[in-house]
Amino acid sequence: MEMVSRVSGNISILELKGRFDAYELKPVQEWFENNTSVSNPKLVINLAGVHFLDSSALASLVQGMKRSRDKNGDLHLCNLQQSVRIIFELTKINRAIDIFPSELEAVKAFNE
Amino acid sequence: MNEALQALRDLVMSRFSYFEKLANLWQSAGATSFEIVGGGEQIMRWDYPGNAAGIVIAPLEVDGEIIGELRVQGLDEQLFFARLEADATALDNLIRYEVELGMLTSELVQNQDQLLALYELSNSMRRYLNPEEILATLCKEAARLCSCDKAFAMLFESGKPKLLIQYPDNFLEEQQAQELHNKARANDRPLVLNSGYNGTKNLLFLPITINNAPFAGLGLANHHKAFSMPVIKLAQAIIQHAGAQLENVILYSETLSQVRMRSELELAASIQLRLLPQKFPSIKGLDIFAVSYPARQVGGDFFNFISHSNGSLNFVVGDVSGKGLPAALMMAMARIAFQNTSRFSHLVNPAKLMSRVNEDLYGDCTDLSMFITAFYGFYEPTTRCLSYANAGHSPVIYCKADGVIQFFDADGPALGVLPVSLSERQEVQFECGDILVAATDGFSEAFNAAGDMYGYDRLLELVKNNRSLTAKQLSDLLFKEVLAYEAGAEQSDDRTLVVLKGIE
Repeated sequence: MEMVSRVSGNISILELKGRFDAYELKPVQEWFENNTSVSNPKLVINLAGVHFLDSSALASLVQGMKRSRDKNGDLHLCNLQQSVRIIFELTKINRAIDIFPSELEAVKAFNE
Repeated sequence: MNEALQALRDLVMSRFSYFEKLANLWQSAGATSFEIVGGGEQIMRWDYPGNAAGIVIAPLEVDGEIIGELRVQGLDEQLFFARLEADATALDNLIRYEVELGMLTSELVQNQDQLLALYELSNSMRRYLNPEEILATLCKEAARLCSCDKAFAMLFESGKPKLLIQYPDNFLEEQQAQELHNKARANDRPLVLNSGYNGTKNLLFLPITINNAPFAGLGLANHHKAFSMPVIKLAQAIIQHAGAQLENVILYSETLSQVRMRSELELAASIQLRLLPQKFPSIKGLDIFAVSYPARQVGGDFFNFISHSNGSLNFVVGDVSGKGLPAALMMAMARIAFQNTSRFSHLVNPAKLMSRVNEDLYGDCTDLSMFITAFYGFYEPTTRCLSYANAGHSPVIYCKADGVIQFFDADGPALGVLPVSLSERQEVQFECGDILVAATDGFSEAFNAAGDMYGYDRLLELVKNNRSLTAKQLSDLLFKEVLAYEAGAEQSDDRTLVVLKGIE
């Protein structure tokens, strides 16, 4: 899996590409740790390049969401492929994490 | 020519009768004395009566160097020089053979010594079962055998230094040892630095390999002369012995920890098996069957049945995120949380029960970065009402006796995701011939060799077409079909089924 980290204003954006599973958790967890050390962290995870996500990966995104909310921030997801979207719908984690069609919308939602 | 002189002395002592005969022959010729001189000193002299006028001297020469002479007194030099010279030449040859013999003998003794030393080294290392002790012995013994002041030995694990032992004290940084190792590996031969390295007079480094893969190395420093072939050869013989021993020990310790781990996992697996009900409660109007197969030895799937004295039944199917031991530990906690909530609360509303379990587990889930999908049901035989709450769990299939089929989709997220449960209570009338299959995603997400997923549609179709089977028959069929679809591909996720069928 590839990771690209960007910053747009006060929003940290992480782009993931490839298969996101139990063997790829560590760098993502570290990214969450680094980016939730500030107060009010605003995180956007762009999953456009992710075609598969297992339950451990899903759990790490939930963890990122919890960490950012603990610090009065939030985590938004965007650009989910169909196969990934289904996983969020089946586990109903889409009711816990806000999911947006595009990165622009995910970023904009923070500024509203 | 110390050796030759020593040989001459030895010869005179060991072959005294030969020299005495020689002296007697000179006496017969009229000599008054016969003398053997070596290194300017008399070694042996025979005197006889007569006129001592006249002296004949012949040099003793070995490999172009004069080491002594033979002297005969009382004879005419003109007449007897040739004869004395012939005796001297014969003695020269004897001395040369003696020297060679001496060298061969000492070499043999030295070889014997080295073999013995190697044997002792192997023996002493065999006593040790951990790499630290072996490396320490190797350093000490290799330094002694190769006449060096200092030594170090290092062990690698996946290309990185894991252990560095130095003798008698530390004289290298780990990085320097690594650098020496890299250099030796690059040239694929022992590294000889006779001009010294890092304050040492001279240094020799030999990588120790298994199947040409480096896993250790031996360094020797401060040899009294420069490192030359005999010492390097000896050091190579040492690392061959040490390498074999080290390899055995590493394999042994790895095997040992693997065996320990495996037996602990087997214990965990048997404990986990006992956590899942092997017998199912007898509930009026229900045919019940359930089974769980983890992908590894232990898994994160669980199910449970809790029957109440009024004949009603609570049941749960759940799936902890992740796999293996961490998931299994969380599964054990989740099972207890559901069991206690079912048994000790007076709630009959699955949504409220689910909410309580979520409160119990939320903190642990957050600490451990896990969540749990769960389908929680409650069946009341007098009304045949089946109520349930679904926290992110799938697939749950409900097939009516007439073949109308649907999923009981989740409405709230998995447990542990949000501090409050969003799952609501749903209910159906569970009639005779109706079937409920609550599975885990190990079923729908079974993959064949081509990487295609078994999927929900096939599962739905299979249940619908076989709704006349008993709960156990249907469960057996589902497992059989999924295994046939996988066709030997590795089971990637835990697989659990709870099947309820409405009976009279």
